[in-house]
Amino acid sequence: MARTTAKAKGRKAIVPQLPAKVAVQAVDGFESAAYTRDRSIVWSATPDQSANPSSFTRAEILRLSRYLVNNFSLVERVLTAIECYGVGAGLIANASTTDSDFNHQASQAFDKWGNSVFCSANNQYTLYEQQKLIARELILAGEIFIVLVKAATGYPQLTLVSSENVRHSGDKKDDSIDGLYVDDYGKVTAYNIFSGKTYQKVDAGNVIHLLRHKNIGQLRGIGSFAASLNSMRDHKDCMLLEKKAVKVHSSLALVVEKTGGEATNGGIAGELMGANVSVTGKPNVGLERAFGGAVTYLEKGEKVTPISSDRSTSGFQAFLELLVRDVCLNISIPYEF
Amino acid sequence: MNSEKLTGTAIRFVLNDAAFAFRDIQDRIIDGGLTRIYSWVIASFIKDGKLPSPVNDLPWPVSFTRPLSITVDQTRVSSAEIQLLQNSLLTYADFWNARGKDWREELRQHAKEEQFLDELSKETGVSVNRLRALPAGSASIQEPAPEPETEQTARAA
Repeated sequence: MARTTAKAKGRKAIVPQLPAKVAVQAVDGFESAAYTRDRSIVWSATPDQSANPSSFTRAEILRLSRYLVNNFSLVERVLTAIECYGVGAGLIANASTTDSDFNHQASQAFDKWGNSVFCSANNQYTLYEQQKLIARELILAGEIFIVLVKAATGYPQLTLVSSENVRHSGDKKDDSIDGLYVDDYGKVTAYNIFSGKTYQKVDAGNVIHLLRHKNIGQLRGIGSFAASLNSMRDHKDCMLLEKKAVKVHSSLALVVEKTGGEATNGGIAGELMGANVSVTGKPNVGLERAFGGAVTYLEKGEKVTPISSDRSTSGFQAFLELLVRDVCLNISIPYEF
Repeated sequence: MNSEKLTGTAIRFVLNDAAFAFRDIQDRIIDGGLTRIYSWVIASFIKDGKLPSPVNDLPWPVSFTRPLSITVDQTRVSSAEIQLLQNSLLTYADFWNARGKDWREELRQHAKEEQFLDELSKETGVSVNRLRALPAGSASIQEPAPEPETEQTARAA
C-alpha cells in the first residue's frame, strides 16, 4: 500500500532489506545455545558445580546475605514477614493416633516441652522461638542444622547450628565434603560441626539437616537471595549515591555569578558563615541579608541564581522499584505485599 | 510494600500469593523438621515412662496447626469459620490452635463462664440473656458487602 502510494506520487519506495550475509546463529537448531556478541557470555558450570558450589562460593553468598540483613531494610522486612506469617504463635503439634487419650496426653506433653526454654540445649529458646529462627535461616542461608541432644538426665533437647558452623575442618585427614560425610551412594552419614573451639563429627541420625532443595544431589543449602544479591547491592548503592546527591543539592541555596569570576568578602553572600559561628566585632551582615527577607543590593557584576533541584526523580524511583521487584520475584513474595 | 494502587480484588490475589509462599516455608519446617522432632521427643517420653504408649497404634501420627492465613477479609473469614464450626466442618482444635491457644482450655474457660452466668443470674435475678453482651446464637458478624466495581477493575475484566 505504501509502495503504491509512493509510486503514485512519482517517488521511489524505500523497502527495508536485510544485509545479504546476515544469518541467524544456532547450534543444532537452537539459537539460545549460540555464542553471540549481542549478549553477555555465560561461562558454564557443570551440573554438580551448580548443585554443589564450592564452600567459598556458598560462604560468599551467605556472607553477603547476612550483611544485607543488617544494612538493607528490605531483607529484614522479608525475614520478619516470614517469621510473623509463616510461624506466628507457632506451629502446634496435635497427636493424631487412633487412641484419643494418648493424643491428648502426647499433645500436652509436647507443648509443655516446647513451651519451655529447656527444650534447647543452651536454655535460650522455646521451640516456638526456634521455629522462627529456623524459618529465617531457611530463607537466608537455605539451610539449618538441628542437632538432637540429651541432657545428662536424658531430657531431650535441641541445638540449632548455623550453616557456617558445619564445614570442612581444613585437616588433611578430614574426608568430608564441605562438612558432610557421604557414603558411596551419596547418603550423608555424619556432619562436621564446629562448636566454637573444636570440630565434632556428629552421626547423621542425630542431626536434622533442613534445607531448601533446588537441585537433585544437592548437599548444602543455598540462600534464597542468591539470584538477587546483585540487585540488592545495586539498590543499596544507588540509594546511597542518590542520597548523597540530594544532600549536596539541599545544602546549596544559591549561586552568585561574578563577572570577574573572583570571590570577594563583599556582596550578597560574601560574608556568609555558619549560624553557629560566633561573631565577634563584625556583624554577620551577609547571613542577615540572605535569610532575613530584607532587600539586598548586589555588587557590580554579581548575579544571583537560586538553586532548585529536581533530585530525586520519579524515574529513579521507578528504577529502584524494578530492583525491588527482582528481589521479590526471587523469593516468591509479591512486590505489593 | 506498595499496595496503594491495588484494587480489592488485586490485593486479595497478592495476599493469596504471599500466603502460598508462607505455606511453602511451613511445609518445609513441618515435613522436614518438626515431625521428626515430635517423634523423637515422644519416643523419649515413652521410653522414660513419662507417657504411655498408644493403644493399638504407633505413636508417630501427628498433624500441625498453622497460624491464621493472611487475609484482608478478617470479617468474612470469621463469618465463614463460624458457619464451618456450626456445621462440624471445622474442629475446635483447628480453630483455637490457629490462634495459638489450646482448644481444651478455651472450651473449659467457656464452660466456666457459662456456669458463672447461671450462678450470677440466680444470685441477682437478672436473666442470663441480659447478662450476656449478645444473645447466644445471634448473628453478630455481618459479611461485608462486595466492593463496587471501579473503572480500573472493569477495564481489567
